[in-house]
Amino acid sequence: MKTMLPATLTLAALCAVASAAQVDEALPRPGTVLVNREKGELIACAVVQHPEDKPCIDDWGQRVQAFVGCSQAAGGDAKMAGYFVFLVDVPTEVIYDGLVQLGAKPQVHYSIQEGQRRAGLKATTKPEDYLQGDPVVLSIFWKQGDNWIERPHQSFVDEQVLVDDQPVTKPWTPHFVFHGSGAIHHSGTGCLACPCDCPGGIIADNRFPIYNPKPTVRFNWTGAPQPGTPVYVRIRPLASR
Amino acid sequence: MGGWTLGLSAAPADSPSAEPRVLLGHTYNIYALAFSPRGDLLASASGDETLKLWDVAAGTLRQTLEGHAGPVYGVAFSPDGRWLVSASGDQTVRVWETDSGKTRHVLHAHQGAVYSVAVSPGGEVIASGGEDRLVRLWKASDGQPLAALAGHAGDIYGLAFSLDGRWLASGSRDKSIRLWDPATQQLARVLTGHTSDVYRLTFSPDGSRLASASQDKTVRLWHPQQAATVAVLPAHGGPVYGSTFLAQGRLVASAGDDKRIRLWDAATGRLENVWRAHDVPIYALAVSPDGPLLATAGGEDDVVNPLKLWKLDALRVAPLALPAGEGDRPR
Repeated sequence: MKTMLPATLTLAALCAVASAAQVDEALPRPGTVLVNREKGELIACAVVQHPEDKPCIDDWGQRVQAFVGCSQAAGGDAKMAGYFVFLVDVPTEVIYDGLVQLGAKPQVHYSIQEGQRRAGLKATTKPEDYLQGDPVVLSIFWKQGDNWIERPHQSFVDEQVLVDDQPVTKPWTPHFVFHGSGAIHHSGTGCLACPCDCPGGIIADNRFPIYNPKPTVRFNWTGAPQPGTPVYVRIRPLASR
Repeated sequence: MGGWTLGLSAAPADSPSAEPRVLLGHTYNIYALAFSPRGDLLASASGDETLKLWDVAAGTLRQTLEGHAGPVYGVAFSPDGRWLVSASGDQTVRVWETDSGKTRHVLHAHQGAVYSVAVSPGGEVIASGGEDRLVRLWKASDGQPLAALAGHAGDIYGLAFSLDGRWLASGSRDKSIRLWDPATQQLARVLTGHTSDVYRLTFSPDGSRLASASQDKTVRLWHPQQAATVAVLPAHGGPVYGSTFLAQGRLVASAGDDKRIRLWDAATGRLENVWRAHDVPIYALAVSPDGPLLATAGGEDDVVNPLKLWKLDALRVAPLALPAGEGDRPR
C-alpha cells in the first residue's frame, strides 16, 4: 500500500487536483474540496478576512460564530459569513459530506431552536445537552514565499480566564467534535468550527454545554496570514468504528 | 442649509439630552418590534421566548407575554390594537389579548420555525411565514387556516400588507419578493433583484412603495404595481435586517449587522443621516404611528442589549458629506 499513490476522492465533478509539480501535496482548486481517504483528511480553499467590528477579532470577547466558516450554507449565502476570519469557498454541506465520507459520525445534534432550549450549565444538565460526535482536528496552511506554513487552528486564538478575579491569558484549548447540526438542521450560518458548543455550525468546542458558558477568546493576528491571503483549511476527523 | 422639513434628533421625548430612551428587560436577542396603532404600546419579540409590552410614554415594562416554547421572531398588532400576533421558532403563531396578555389562539400548521407575521389592514386575516416556505393565511377571529400560499424556494423572513389591502408581500431566502393578492390569494408579482436573502418588508403609507432589507447589504425600494426597482440603497457594511418608512413615506430608515441606523430620502435615495445606534447587530426597527418615535433593538446572542427609543423631530439635517467613519452619533 505504501507504494500506491494516495487515493483521492473528490466531491462533485468540479473537484480536481492541482499540479503536483507546483505544490508539495495535492490541493483543491477554488470552489472545490479534496477528500483524501488515505490520509483521512479534507482540504478546502479559503481566504483570510478581517471582520470589522465583530466580537473576539480585535479584543477579548465571547462569540458563537466560528473563526472558520463557509460563504454558503443551506442553499444560500451563509448568514455569518461576515464573522469568519477564514472564509471557505464551498457550502457547509460540502464540508459535512466530505467528513461523512471520511467516516466521521455526528452523534448529538440539534437545531438552533432546540439548542437554545438546552442551553447552559445547570444542575439538571444531562449528557445529551452537549453536542457530540467524532473528534476533529483543524489546521490552516498557506504559502509564504517558497515555504508552506501550517498551524493548528487553535494557535490563532488566545483564551482568557479569571484567576483570583484577575484575567489570565492562556492557550486556547478547544475540544472540537463533529456534531453536524448546521448541515443536518439547515441552520444556514455557514459556521464550521464554533468556539463554543453551538448547533449553528458542524464542529463545536464541547467543553461546556450548549451556548453557555462560552470561553472568552481573542483572535491573535501575530503570525496569522494577512487579510486577502488565500489559505487552505485541513480537517482531520478521528472516525470511530 | 435649506430644503429640510424633517430629520431626526436623538433627543427623547422628555429630555433635552442626545441619548435615546433605553428599555431593558429581554435576556436574548430582540428580533422584532411593533407599535400599537395608537402608539401607546411597543411590543418586542425576543429569543428569550417572550414578548414584552412596553408603555411608551412612561418607558416602563407593562407586561411579559409567556407561552412560546422557542425564540419569538415576529410580532404585529391588530388594527384596533386589541390583540397582537407573534411568530416563533416553536412552529406556532400565537394571538394574544393586549389588555390581559392572555393567549387567544395558538395557530398550528407550519412545519418549522415561523419567522414573520402580518395583519391585514382590516384585521380579518393574519399572514405568517417561515421555514416551511409557505405563506399561511389565518382567519383572525377564530384562528382557523384559510390558505397556504406556495411558491417561495427558501425560508420566508418578511411579510407586509399594504395599507390599502391590495398587496401582501413576502420576502424569502430565495432572494425574491412575492406580491400576492390577498383577496384572491393568487400570486400577482415576483420582484427580483436582491442577490441574497430578503429580510423584513415595509410598505409606504400610500402603498406606492415597498422597502426590502437584504443580506446583500442593500435596501431596495420597489414600485409594486410595476414590479420594478425604484432605488437601490447601498445601505450598509453588512446584512440589512430591517427598514421602515418615516415622515409619511418621505424617509426610509434602515438598520442591520453594522449596528448603524441610516436615514435615506425615499425620493432621491440620498443618504441623509447615519449613526451607530447599538453595540450589537440591529435586527428590528419600528416607527410609531404618528411618527415621533423610532424603536430599534437587536442583540449578539446573550449579550443583553437595550431596546432604544429615538425621538424623531422636526429638526433640520444638514446636507451631509459623511466622514469615512460614518457618524458615531446622530446629527
